[in-house]
Amino acid sequence: MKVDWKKSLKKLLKQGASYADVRYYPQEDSSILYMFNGNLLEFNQQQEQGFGVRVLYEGAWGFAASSDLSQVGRTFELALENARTAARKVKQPVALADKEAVRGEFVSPCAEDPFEVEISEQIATMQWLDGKLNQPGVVNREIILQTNRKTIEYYDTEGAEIRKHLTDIYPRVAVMGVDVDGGMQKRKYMPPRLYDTRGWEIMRRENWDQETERIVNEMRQLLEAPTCPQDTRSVILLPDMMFLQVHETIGHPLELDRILGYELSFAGGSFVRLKDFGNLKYGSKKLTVRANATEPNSPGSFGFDDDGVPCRDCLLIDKGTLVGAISSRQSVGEANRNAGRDIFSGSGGAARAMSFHRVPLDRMTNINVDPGEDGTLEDIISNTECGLVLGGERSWSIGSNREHFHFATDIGWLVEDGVNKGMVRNTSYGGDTLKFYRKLSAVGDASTWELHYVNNCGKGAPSQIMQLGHGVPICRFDQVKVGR
Amino acid sequence: MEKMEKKITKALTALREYGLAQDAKFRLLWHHENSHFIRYANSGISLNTSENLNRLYITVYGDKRLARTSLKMDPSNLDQMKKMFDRALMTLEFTGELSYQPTLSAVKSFNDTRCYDADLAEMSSDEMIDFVEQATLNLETDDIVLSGNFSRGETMLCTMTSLSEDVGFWAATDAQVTLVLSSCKNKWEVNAEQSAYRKKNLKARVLHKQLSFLVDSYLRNKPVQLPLGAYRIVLGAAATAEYLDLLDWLALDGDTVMRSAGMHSKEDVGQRILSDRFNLYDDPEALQTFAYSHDLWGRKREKLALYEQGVYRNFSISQELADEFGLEANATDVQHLNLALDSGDWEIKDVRELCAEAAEGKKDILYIPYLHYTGVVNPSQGLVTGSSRFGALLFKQDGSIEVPYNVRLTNKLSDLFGSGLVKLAQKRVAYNTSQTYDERNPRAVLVPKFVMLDDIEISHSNNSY
Repeated sequence: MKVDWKKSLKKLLKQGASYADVRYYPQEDSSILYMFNGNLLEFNQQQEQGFGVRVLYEGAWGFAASSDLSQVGRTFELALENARTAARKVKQPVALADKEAVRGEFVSPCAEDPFEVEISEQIATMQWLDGKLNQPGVVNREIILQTNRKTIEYYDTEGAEIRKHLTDIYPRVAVMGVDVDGGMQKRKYMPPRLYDTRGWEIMRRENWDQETERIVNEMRQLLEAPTCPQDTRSVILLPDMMFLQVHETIGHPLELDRILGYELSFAGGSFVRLKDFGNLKYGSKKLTVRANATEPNSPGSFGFDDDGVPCRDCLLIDKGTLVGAISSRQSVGEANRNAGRDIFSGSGGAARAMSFHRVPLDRMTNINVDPGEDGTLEDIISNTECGLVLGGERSWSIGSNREHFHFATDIGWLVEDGVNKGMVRNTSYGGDTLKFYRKLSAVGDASTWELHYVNNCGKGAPSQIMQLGHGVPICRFDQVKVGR
Repeated sequence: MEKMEKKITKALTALREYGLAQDAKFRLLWHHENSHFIRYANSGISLNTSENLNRLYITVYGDKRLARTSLKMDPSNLDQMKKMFDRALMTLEFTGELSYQPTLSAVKSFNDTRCYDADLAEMSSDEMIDFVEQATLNLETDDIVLSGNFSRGETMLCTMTSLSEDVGFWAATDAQVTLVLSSCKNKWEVNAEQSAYRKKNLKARVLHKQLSFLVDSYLRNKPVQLPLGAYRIVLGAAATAEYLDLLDWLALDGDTVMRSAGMHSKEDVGQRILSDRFNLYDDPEALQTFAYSHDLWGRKREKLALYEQGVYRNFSISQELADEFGLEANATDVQHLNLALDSGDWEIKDVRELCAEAAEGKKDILYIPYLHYTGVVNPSQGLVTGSSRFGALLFKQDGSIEVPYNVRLTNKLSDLFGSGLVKLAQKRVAYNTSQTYDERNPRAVLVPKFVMLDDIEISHSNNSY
């Protein structure tokens, strides 16, 4: 069925709307394959289509979505009705930051489309991986392969016309074993960015040989490793843990809609206030962070956001000082108005929606920490008196304003007097966000920097899952409580 | 509802005939939702949204094989459904052989609409806004602003298999109201919530009473940073429900148990794990939990003891898990268990009574209504962590009240509900634990309104709101 979306949008303007946009997903394909101990327990292919229309009426948002293309007229009317009703209680009318009406297209880089790979080959690859993991000491083996491909058409009443085609693949392997105390230990591997493209090429066997062997060996050692001490020491976060630290305690607190109080009923607020921009010492001078949606080949780079704004590279923290936020047209308009000054120069291009039936929120793109000048992991260890190297996120729990955190990790290694003293298990650490970043004492060089993909960032009411990236080096933080 | 039920049944019957013509063995599950959601922020409506979605889940069975496809679709587009059916069938041969034979049983007809209320399904945006206005009347100021949401909707599930013409149908309506009042200046936040499956159970005055007390407490009393250490803690319904959700994952989910990914193994059944005051059931008669009278195979569900007097009795065993591990399925192939924690003999109706309780027990009481962002630190040990939020209060022995900054609790579930469990309130309430990441699946747990725990360690204490 061919729908004239622009005509439907124009009709809304005639009916009194001040702005409207529509996102149409002609087709979204996704698949999940889950193998446990050699059994392919989940082999699920999904397909969806539908559209969502967002309407601004007298400063209030209305939204409606449907998977039923025979209901386009009714759904547009419903979105307008919803906006009219919402206008009953408007304290601050929505004011969108200016943008240029762009016409454009974005295609994510993909050499080998995973949806064009024969199913038999996908399963054979998983079985090969399972064989690699099936070693003595391993009691459980998991292989997960998630793929997604979608086309999104975007139109708005300001004249934007955008078409995006995004393809993603998220493979993960894990091994588990029972330790000397009867507890389950786990090691896992999810590849960071490997190439200039992300498609089935990630599954080439040479990418997995060493990594599967490594996690099996590490898991075996964990089974007999001593438990993590409870004390205060430096922690050295490897990129596969550092990305989560950044995600939870820099990314989320710097989402501007959260700072403005739009997430208070569920996800929480932020300790950051508008007056902090340009002033707050977020971390030591070694900390420079950016929201870079132009980073090549990442799910956090998507060409144009769901406000129709081209992706940008925005500085968030400059040598320790807070200077920017993750933002959209609405949040920038409101923040500048509330602050009485132009803190932000236009939208950060980070309005993103999970699907056609959810509204855009301020979401992370690629929240990256610039590499430093403190060398390699070996260099940092050699300069650490009393430390703990940590890798592999295991659990995360964060205060409602992101002011403090508690993380557990899969693995750790004790460091004493500049020497790695061996592995420990049941590792954890926690602290207050600002105190923690102000104790950032070493940042690894570019050779330690890795871009990790995240496919499960949750936020919003109604809730949404988002995909993004984090480019991070190895980092050391001092005086951290560990083992609790 | 009846109109939609007919539409779904007609489409499923047509698709079933298509599948039978191909000599396939299969199961079809249709999920329909009609959702309406009003979100508040900064004392204004920040979003008013409607979603009307249909999803179809297709599972095809072969010799030691199964494959699944699903789609979110136009409900009148049978061709699209047929294509996804074909894809499931086509991929079946490639799925690799399982080590067991998955069972396809004929669905036995059932029609469970006990939790469906037409009045709630038709509740308008204006009524929802009026309700919130009543619940927050005169509580907003320039500094104290309203956030929150009012979510309501209808959900329908309809299932058929290739083995019979029987149809299983379940429908429910649900409403979840979450209202947050927060101070812009001082950053404290308090909330009140309500869950209902019938419109008549929505009571704005109850929410108003809760919010009034909490706002007044936060305005009148001084904030404190609590010293680390052990406390007598009283959990509100939201906090108890959060812990039960974690227990559901780590101890009651059959997949977790059989794959050794949680705190129990099959061998723990029959062992005393928790306090003898702790009785937890999967209760299909607990309608407030959006109950299922039958599982999705049409098996009649009975009240299932999960923990009885602290003894671990059962965990959920789906048909697929039963096939894989040689167990017997226990009618838990449902979207969620209907968790109901037995009440105790503690006569307490209102949080204000904790003042007298602290004086009588000669011990301060830390009231934690809500836990934010919990995480599992060590699944084998059932060690979990989370921080307080939304209106914690410290009731002092001397009758005074202090307002504590948020604190973190990092404890084993077996300690909290084992040696730590002192008493449970007589009155029970339903707390909504629905996740809305994708499809609507209304769920709630039935919990005592207050649960008292003793000697519970605080592992971190904030120095500001």
